[in-house]
Amino acid sequence: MVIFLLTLALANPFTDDIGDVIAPGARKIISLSPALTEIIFKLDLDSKLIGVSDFSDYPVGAKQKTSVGPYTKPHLEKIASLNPDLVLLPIEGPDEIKDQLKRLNIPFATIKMETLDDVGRTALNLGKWLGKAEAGSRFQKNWNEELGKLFQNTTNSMSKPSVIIEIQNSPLIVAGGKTFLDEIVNKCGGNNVFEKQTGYPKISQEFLTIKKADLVLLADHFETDSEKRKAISSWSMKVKELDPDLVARPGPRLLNGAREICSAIRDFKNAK
Amino acid sequence: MRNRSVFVIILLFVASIATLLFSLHSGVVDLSWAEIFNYLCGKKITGQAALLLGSLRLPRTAAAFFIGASLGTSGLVFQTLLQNPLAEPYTLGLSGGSALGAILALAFSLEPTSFWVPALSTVGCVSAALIVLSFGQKRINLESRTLILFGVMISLFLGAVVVTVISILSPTKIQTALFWLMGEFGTTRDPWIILIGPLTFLCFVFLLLKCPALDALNLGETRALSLGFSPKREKNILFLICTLVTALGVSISGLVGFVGLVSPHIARKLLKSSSHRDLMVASYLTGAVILTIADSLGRSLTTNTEIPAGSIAALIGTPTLIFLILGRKQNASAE
Amino acid sequence: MLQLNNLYVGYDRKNVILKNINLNANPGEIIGLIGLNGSGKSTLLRTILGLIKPLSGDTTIDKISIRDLSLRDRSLTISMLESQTQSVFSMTVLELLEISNRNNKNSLIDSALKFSGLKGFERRNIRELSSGEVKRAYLAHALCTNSKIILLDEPFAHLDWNQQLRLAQGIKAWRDHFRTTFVLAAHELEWIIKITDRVWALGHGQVIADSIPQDVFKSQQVSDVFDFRAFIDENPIDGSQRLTLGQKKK
Repeated sequence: MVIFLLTLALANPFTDDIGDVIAPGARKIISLSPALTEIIFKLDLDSKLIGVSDFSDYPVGAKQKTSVGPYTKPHLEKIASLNPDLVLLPIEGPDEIKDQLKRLNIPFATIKMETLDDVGRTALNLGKWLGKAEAGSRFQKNWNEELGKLFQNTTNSMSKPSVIIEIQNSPLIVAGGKTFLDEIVNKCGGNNVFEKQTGYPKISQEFLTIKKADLVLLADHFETDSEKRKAISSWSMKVKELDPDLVARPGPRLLNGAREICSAIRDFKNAK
Repeated sequence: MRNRSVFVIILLFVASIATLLFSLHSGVVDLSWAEIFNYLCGKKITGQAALLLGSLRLPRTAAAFFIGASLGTSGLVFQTLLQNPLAEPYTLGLSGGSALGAILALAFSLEPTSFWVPALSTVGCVSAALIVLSFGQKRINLESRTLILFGVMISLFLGAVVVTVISILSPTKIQTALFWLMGEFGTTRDPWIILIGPLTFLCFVFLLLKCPALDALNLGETRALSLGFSPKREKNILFLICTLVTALGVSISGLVGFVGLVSPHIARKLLKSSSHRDLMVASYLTGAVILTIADSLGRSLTTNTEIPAGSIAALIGTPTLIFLILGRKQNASAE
Repeated sequence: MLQLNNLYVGYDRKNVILKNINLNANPGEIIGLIGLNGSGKSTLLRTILGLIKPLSGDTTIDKISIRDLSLRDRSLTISMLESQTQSVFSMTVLELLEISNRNNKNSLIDSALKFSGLKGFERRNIRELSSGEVKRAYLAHALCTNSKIILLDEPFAHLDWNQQLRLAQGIKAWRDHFRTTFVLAAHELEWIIKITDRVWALGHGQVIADSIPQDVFKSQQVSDVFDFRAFIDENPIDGSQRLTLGQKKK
């Protein structure tokens, strides 16, 4: 029995986040998530990357990779023509893609990138699957350490400022509960006003008036509306602009994004 | 005139074959004609090409062909039944019903989507049709303006419900819904065409046999009865069969607009004959050709995304029809 | 041959339009059906055709109820043409006739064209014809059905005098050639008297007269309902029956 379990442990196949078995050693991969693309580059695996989804624009090298369309509706013939041996899918993508890839006998891995922990774990997995196990493990260790350092000063505070995290200007979309931004705000000692609504709810502009928050974090790519900024300030909410590139994706750069958020919350508390 | 009909139909038939081959050939990946012919003849070709042809292009081409054909045919029947040249398969609420069914399947995340979306869209389509049909059983005729108004109202209402539901979906689902509403090929639903294609063809044969009834119905209920057809019964049967054909097509491709409206008119302009039998064959082939070409172009024009077949069909179909209308105006007297 | 037995005619039980209709028609008769507007002429014809179900009673052909005949047999026995027939889509005269020509008899089409005066119009599109020509095209189409009984609802409407003359001649010629029974519902009483063998008159929801034209027009009931007095003599120009109507004296 012990031997059986041992053998099982040694022969442990790699599995992705929905339990599918992944054959290691893929040499031609396609990434259907900009965040995954960033991790791949971070692990120096970009030489194996033969295709990416739209919006995979960081780092610079990613822009030169062949695009296969948006992750919600990738161009299947394009993918097929590139002859990949592993396609990386984010878990929130449509099931249709998985069915299509199965039909075409193209191996794929479904990856959950929803929490801070997921980022480290994904790096570890990708490292294991693609022959950079050490780099992956190192990334995860570093990731956890840095985040640990960042959050430790904030765990015991008396007051928790209420925070609204706006990730899109128009239509107005905020980060709700069970998102990585919500997680960061909580760990930085803040309180996400919209944590009761999971995901990324679309809210009416009026909410900015009635849901009085102490702090509004703006993270939209487009010019934040100066009128809106003035309006928000006039409702006596502090506004802090974040660099959207750092907080939009659950990728390596999120570490700096977390730093920005924590410093914003800290500044708010110090200012009181 | 008989000769002209035969000539046009032969021409359309040749165009259909050419279109089918063109569709198998087009796409992001180049497939040589040799590979295509070998595959079709059952000879071996490279694994990748075989996979591409077998899993992607063949089902998709077949789907576009049969569904375009069905839309063309039922478009013709609806135009005659409703005595309205602007009628098309979706006029009497069928599009609203299908859309509502499909969007609800998406909204409630019914798994697997590749079964539930087509299933509910079919249920929705048929339900809408039955509602409209039951309303029209008394003294209201299918071609009465009241009934058409009722059907349009139902479509608008259901459409509004659909939009409302969509507005509360997540971004991913919104995109999925949008593509379904615009009509899409190349999904995992395409292989169902192996069952649905022949079914729609059988319906086509049935409708073809009903052409004498259609000719008679075209002249009104009194003449229809005088020629030996029960107007109410024939209209009900025709309406139901066309609903079935439309529902089957929509279950695979979503709502492909325009083809049902424009194919019969193109057929009319090409044929110069008003016999429903000639028109039906021509509408069948015209619809098939238009949608198949549209789908081929939609997936080969840009390299990393696809343009929905429905839009391309409208973009090529409208100028074609206008050209035919204007061209005729030079020759014949006032039309 | 055609017999209407105790027919109650109407669209539903609440609105009975005609009561107790007992009429008959023989092969080769041309029968006129007259009545004021709203008296139920069209409804009666539609009921005879079978488009509307009688509220009670039935129609028989040679003692067989039309309900017992198949649709096809029924169409070979009775057919009808209404005054407003128009298809939305265009077609040629020949195509229009071919729809009725179920047995593919070219001679039938020739006769229809001849008797409706449309020889040479085969390739003309009905959208291009004048209203009179369109009516004649539809008449030719109706004739092509070649049923034993042909019902015509207001065939003379919208035609000029010459067209009316040709129509009357055509109907007579067709009857002479094929022994078809015609029932014509019309307001043009001067033509009724010229070509019909018998006249059915409707009034007050019933048959108020059923006899040869001269007797019908002079009858008391008809005079009351229609509010006219009739005088019949011979037309000095062609010798046919001439009907002159005048107001009733107070």
